[in-house]
Amino acid sequence: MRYIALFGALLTAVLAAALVRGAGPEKGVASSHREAPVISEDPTADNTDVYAFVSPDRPDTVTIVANYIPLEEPAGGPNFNQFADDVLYELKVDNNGDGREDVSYQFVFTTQTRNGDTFLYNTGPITSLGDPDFNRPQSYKVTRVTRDQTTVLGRNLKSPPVNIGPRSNPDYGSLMRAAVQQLPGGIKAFAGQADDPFYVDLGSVFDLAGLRPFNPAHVIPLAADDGVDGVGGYNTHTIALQVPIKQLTRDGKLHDADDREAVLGVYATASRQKVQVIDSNGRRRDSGDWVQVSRLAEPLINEVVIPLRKKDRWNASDPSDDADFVQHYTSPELTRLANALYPALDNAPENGRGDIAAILLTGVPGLNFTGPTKADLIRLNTGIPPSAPVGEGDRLGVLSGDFAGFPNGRRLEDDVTDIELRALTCGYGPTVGPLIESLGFCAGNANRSPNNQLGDGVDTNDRPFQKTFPYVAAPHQGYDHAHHGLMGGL
Amino acid sequence: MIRRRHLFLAVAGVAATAALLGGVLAGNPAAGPAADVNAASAASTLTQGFSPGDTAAYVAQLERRVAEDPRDAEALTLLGLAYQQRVRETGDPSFYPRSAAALRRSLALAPDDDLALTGLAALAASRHRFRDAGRLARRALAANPYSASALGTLGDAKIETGDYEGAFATFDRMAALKPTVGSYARVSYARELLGRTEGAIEAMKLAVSAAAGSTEPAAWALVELGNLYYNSGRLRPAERAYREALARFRDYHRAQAALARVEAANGRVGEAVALYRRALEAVPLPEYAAGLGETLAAAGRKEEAEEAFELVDVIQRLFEANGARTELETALVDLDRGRKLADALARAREAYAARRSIEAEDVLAWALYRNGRCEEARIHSIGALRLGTRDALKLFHRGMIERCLGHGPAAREAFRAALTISPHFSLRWAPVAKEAVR
Repeated sequence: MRYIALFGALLTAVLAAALVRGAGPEKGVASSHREAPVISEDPTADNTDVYAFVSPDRPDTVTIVANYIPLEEPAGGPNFNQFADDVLYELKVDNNGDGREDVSYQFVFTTQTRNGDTFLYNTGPITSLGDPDFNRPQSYKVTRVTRDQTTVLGRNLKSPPVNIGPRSNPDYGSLMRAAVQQLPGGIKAFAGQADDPFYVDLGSVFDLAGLRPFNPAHVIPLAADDGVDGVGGYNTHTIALQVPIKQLTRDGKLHDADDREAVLGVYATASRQKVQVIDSNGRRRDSGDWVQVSRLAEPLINEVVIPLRKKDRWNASDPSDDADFVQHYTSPELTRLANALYPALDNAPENGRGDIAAILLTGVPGLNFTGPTKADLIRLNTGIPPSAPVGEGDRLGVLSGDFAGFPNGRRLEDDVTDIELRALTCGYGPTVGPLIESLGFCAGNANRSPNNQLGDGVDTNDRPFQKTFPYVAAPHQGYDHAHHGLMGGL
Repeated sequence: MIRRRHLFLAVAGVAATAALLGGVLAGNPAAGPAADVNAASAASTLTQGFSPGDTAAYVAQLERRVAEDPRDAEALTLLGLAYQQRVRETGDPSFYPRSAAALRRSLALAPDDDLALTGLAALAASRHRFRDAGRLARRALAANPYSASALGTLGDAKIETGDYEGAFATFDRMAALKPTVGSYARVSYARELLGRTEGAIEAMKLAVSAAAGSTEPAAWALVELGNLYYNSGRLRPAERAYREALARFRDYHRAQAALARVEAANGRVGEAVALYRRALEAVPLPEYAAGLGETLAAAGRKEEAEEAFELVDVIQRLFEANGARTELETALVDLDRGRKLADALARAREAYAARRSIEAEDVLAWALYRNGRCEEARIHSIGALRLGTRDALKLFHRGMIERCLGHGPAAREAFRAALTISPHFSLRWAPVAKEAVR
């Protein structure tokens, strides 16, 4: 109690100091010189999630799904979201464990305006991808890039329109199906709007970091309740690619699960054109040069692991540079938060968390280990066959003994929020716990309770996934959207 | 990322509060002082991105966070920055002192936080305290050499104090680190200063694209793009850009005032006056009042024009009372109106001493000319054009100065150059230039 009183006094002092310093005599003025915004978001180049899994209906292929543009409101007119023409979107695969991409797929978009006299997205029902009433269609080019070869796999590939409503898109399903592109070598591609497959209880988490099922265990207890999917009803823009595994492995062959060469490291990036004031040769536009503005592999890294002042640097860096950030994995902030917020939890070690570094940076021995190089990649062991059709895998993946799921790759249905919460609090459960303990982590107990039950109470996506490529659900329609300020200003 | 950032940031932001409540109120030993410190430091390392949509709601959310936990340095920093964005959107300068207060409180809690320092630097720049802005931006960069936004503000300060080479290098560093609307717009401005209008337009188009997800920044970049067209005499594309800005952000004062200029150039005085008045109602900026005055004067409505010019004076006095340096801006208005000439020259000299930018040097040249000191004026006019900027008004000033010195051919060359860049460069002076080259 002595400490508590002291802390209260300290807080009062800090507060008083802050108030005094804040109450300066300064008055405001409006500005007239030209000022760019200090901080602005760039959602069209903002990579929200990456998924990689062996395709259940075509098990000799890998499907990679990269989503851009967060929290798209379906009723988003008149300026509907779309891919940016001057952003380079890339899906990248490392097949030799050095954290550098060996095979990349580049997506570059072109927006056509069919009728320059109108700002309208469409001037009548869109019944096909080539419909003249579709006023602002997007098409894209896919290029495969390796160290020695650049191959254009497809040009003028059409994207579907956004899902506006029953008048504009009377049969959205047919448009989405028509937008699945068959590329040479058995590759399929899709790029367009989709339901955001991610699910999490935003509403509760915003309310003092609540997890509704664990409400009684919170420092401010409430009655326990079911979770609510805060991402439900929101769309995103998906780039999906399905590629035969042999086109991705280092030696062009399939490998067994216990062979390290079976493991692929996957990540996605977005880059914008590099411009310079003083460029060489008086060239005005260096269209060959790009600056990476966003990268993503494992979920929640940029959000929870990388601190603010390192974000610009991290987003501009490559996975092979991730050793520079390793302390943020081995001393995860979220573990400290969970320990502080949920006194009822069995406090997990806040430092020395090599288990977290292994899961997120090198892969787990016996599952998807790629060697000593620390790099944030989704590591998919292609030798482990799919365990269920898309959407039917165990949401807790490896924690439940379903080795075809996260953190072996990431499937659409994997509940990465719950899995990561449990891992960070050493609540791995009985299947994985002993392995983590045998590796010397979690201070001898990697199956803490009730940590091994942690979760936000949202266990599935709001829409069922499709059983065939691109698997993501069709986007929510603007006409019947259900959002009315659910997210406030966010 | 935004989503998850918000999400976990919200977690982090409230974590310190929760821990604190747990520790202080409930007396729970598990959430004692040690846990509080951990939670607080954890919270401070997490952040959320700037809201692309509704800034007012974002501000309200951050204010709640700060009310819940007055020690939440990160929320205070973000709030300080969000208040500045509110000024951009509403023109209401009362957000500035709130921004300053929030940022200073944040710095008191987390000294050397680069984002808070960058916010204060941007605030200093908004008040035209460019040396302070540069100093604060350097402190931010010392704390975080990879801060793109601090580089941007440092470059702005260098531009405004006349260190162009340094500014361009800083902008290049910023753009190489993080291409954003801010970096593209700055590269565009630099190219414009160097007279590379097409390159400036290309970079500003990239800025528009990079801002596509945010309302005011996208509209702002569109207005800047329109200005590049307007200043190079292309009224139709300029008008399209301004109208698109208004479509993205309804009643945006910058777009209204810019569109007013197009309407005035096209002789649609009624539309121009209405637009200027709406912009002025939203945000009383001196340049809007001056534009209104010029439009009315050119239409022969002298009394109304006088009223508008008096409004310029009133606004300027308000600015000065609030601590903004406006010597340069007031001097130019007085010089164009042919009054308080000696005093305007003194103010121009003062401004030029404070910031050796080409803008300040051009006003100084014009002030010297209007006071009949054309030899000295010519030296500074040459200085004002030293970067090769294709700025019709500066070239017009040059022409008047050359004519004053009896350099007929040089004067005509300057007038022709100004009119070639844009025959609409000024309602007041373009006719003078046209008369001179006839």
